[in-house]
Amino acid sequence: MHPFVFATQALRRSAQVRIGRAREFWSKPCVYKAKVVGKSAFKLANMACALHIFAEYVGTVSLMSGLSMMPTLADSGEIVVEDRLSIRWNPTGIARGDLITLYSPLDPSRIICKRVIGLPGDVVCVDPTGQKAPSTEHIVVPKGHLWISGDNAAMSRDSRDYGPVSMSLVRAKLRARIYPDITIFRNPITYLD
Amino acid sequence: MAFLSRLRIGRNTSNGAPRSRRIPALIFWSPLALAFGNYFWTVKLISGRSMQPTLNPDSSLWRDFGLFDKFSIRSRHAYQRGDIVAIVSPEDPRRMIVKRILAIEGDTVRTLPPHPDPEVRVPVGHVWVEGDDSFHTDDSNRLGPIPAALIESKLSNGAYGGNFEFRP
Repeated sequence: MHPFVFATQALRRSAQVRIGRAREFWSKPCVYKAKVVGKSAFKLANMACALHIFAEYVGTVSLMSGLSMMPTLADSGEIVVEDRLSIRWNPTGIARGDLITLYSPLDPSRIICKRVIGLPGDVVCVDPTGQKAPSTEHIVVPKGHLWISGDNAAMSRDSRDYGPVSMSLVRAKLRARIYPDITIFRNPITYLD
Repeated sequence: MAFLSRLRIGRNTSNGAPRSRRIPALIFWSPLALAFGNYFWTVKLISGRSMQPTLNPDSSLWRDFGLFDKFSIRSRHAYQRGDIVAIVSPEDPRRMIVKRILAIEGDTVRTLPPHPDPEVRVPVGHVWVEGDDSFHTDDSNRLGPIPAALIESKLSNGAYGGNFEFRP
């Protein structure tokens, strides 16, 4: 048999089966129909909850916007992979140079993306450019806190403005960019002896 | 549980997977329960004496359970002065602390001893929290103002006007 004829016949048969099933469903009593519809609604809600929980505990893709990470991330239209599992698993396992997203200490409804500069106990220079603080001013990062900074120092509001931020504010680590190109973010820090 | 087993998937189909390979109802419906606990209300066991006499009073033999409302914090960021809130400790992400909000952004607070300054203006996006028992508490007087994003949930006020109270 010619494949086209076969496909047409198969489609027609499956359509007939579907119409038959629909007729059968509509001829059922009202209570049964309500039960089936209600159960499907429950299943849909359940699936949405499962997706939400995956995004909350394992990881998600998210759209980035803003000028503060300019050479690394463009100011709009980039999609990145956020890894939340490693932060949930080990909340203090953050290294210098990691890209992180965190809840803004200035506005709880905002999420910001920055690079980690200093870990607890490090001595950091508040602002090497001397614009927001004298370039000789140094600070010790307190216990449980991080020093964060945007890659685009001129257009970033970061620890230079609000000081060290709590590690508890950290939401996720940025692992890769998937749109417009695929890039895996590697830790760029090199240590000098 | 009878309610859950009645909702089990594939119960009325004869052509589905064999009974042994079906997902048990409890696991199948667990995302709903987990998301409810994540977004709406959770019950937490409160330990420590920093909120005496409101929570864990000496007269009680057991530790208190609290019904915490996550919805109004996560979705509406609705917190006021006087609310009892659960906060992720700013020093240790694995710990939670329960304190009362004394002041919100823009307020000026008079501090207690461990704090270096006599008066503090609470910065934007921060809150000032203290325990009710000012002698046994690790609060803003030591940690400074706390970012509002660290507030995780607040103790629900019952329908009785006062705090939700149920002690065994």
